[in-house]
Amino acid sequence: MSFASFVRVPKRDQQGNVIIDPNTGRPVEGLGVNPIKPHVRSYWLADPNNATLVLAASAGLNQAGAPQQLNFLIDSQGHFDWASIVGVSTGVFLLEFFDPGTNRLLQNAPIHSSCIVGVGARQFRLPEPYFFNVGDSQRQLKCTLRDLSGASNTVRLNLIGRRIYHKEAPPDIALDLQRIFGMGSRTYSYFLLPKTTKNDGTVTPVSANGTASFEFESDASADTEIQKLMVASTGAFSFTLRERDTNRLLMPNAVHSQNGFGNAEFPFFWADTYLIERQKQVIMDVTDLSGEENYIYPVMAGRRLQEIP
Amino acid sequence: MKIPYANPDLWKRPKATPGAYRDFTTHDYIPGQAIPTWIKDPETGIVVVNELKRYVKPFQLSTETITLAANEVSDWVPMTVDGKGHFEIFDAFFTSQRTEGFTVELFDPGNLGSERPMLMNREVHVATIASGNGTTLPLTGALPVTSSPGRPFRWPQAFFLNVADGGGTIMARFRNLSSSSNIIRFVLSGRRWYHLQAPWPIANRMEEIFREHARTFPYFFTTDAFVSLSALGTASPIIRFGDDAYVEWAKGMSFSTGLYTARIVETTTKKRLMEQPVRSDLCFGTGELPMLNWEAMLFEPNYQLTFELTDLSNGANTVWITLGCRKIKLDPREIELIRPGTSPGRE
Repeated sequence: MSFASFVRVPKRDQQGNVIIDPNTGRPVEGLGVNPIKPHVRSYWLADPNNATLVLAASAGLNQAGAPQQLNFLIDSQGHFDWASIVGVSTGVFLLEFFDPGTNRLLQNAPIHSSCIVGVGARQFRLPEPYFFNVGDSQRQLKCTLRDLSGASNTVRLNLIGRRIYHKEAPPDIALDLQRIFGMGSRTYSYFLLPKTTKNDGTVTPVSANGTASFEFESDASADTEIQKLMVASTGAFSFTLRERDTNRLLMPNAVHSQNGFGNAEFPFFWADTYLIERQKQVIMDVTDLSGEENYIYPVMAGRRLQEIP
Repeated sequence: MKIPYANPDLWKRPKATPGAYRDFTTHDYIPGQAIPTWIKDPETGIVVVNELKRYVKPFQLSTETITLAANEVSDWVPMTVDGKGHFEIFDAFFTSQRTEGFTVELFDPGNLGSERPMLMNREVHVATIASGNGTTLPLTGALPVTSSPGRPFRWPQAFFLNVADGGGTIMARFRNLSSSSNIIRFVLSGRRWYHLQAPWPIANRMEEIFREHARTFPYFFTTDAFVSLSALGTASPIIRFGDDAYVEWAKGMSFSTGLYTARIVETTTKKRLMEQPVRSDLCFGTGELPMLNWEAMLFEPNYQLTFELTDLSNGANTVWITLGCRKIKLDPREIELIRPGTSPGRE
């Protein structure tokens, strides 16, 4: 949420004592500008050297091209709270994020662009903002991209969030901001993909009218709370989701892909977030409905809770 | 505090509704939301019918069909509501026979002299403050005009049109942007507060709610001058926020005849909102699907933004940018920044 622009605080006299309203016995309140607010601005982050990136064509559609990298540099002017992803491209591509500052991958496999790259009108919101504490130096987010379209692919990718310019704030405000944001976070946004997704992000297609099982696993290092579902596929399919250890189904009958998955612009939200505890698996059993070979790229977006021993 | 106008005779009604006694708000009014139908009496905990609800109704205020000649500017068109109750405006819609659309200027003559007459600094493109143009998204595809009512443009702040004191009229002026004649309509949508028909305790409560909003209202800022980019050309228009109020920028919208890039810079501090120019569809939305700033940005009076624009279409490019904002008028005694250890009122 945005910081409140205006806040109510007790009024004080010249000695700093709270002024009490004699009629109510309560402190007299005044309305003022939130002192933090002028030091917080929306911010669009791009690779400073690559406003656009041309990805070399892959060998064909649904095959991964050579990896190329965007380096999103967060200078030392202030913290960056990353909230959403937007981009345009001439074809589909795969992308994965790595935060070298925390040595953290934000997904377990490369993600199809149609699942997490929105536009200004419909940004893809991260399940929770990802905070970059710049401290005394700059931070970086590395993004590896691979073409998936089989043609030369021009990509523009921007990350949207807010900058917190704590360093230019008056000392007392800067201290307040550091206190609020300096503690670091134990939860962070994460994208969960099937374990069968290959390291380059490509998938084995489901045969025409055939079936397949995808396994999503919350690994041993963190619990994962799933918030929304997206998919890119070359055809329609039906699916069920079940928990491996309890065999509990999240739907008694197969659901059509259009009724259970969205895309980056309009993701599908569950009625409640879904917790996959560490080392638990969710099996997605799919059946192709298109009658043709079907490349299916499902993504679950959520956040991870990292246990600190 | 007991709600003064709750009618005990109505308290039995929720007994017929399962779950009516749990999870109900004690608020009879929540800004920006539908009036709660049933509320919990904070004193007794009993769920009662919210009496406000009986006197608040959905309402739409539309122009007649207006036919504008090629590039014609209309006279000021009064959009008048009767004097039975205040009108709280949430959304705007339009229809335009021509895809070029038209521009809009709005003001509230009833508030002339009370420092909140205009709703924009200059004429804005209708497709940046209202829904009705349809839209196309890269993944989802075309969202047709027929479904536009399902994507209302919600103003950054509801506008209370006061029907007392001779008010009750929004004046609108339109300019046809097409070189052919254009049949248009413009609609404001919201709810009426029928305070004059309500019993006095309810009417008083309505007036109280209205007064709470007296210092904030929606405002649309567009570039201080028209922007027309030559093929691959550049321009640096500015938007200056007035000296009369604080401004909170919540939504960004644009309508243009081609793609362009923008880099937004705070003119005085040189602080950039993006280091690299960003393509227009990645930093602005439309009236139907606006770009929502995750952090609503607060600007002090007289702040100025510079928009460094570059055409990408390789053709003449007319650019309309609108920032959906709300203005907040502060009491001069309250505008001192509150810092740790200090507060308004402390020297």
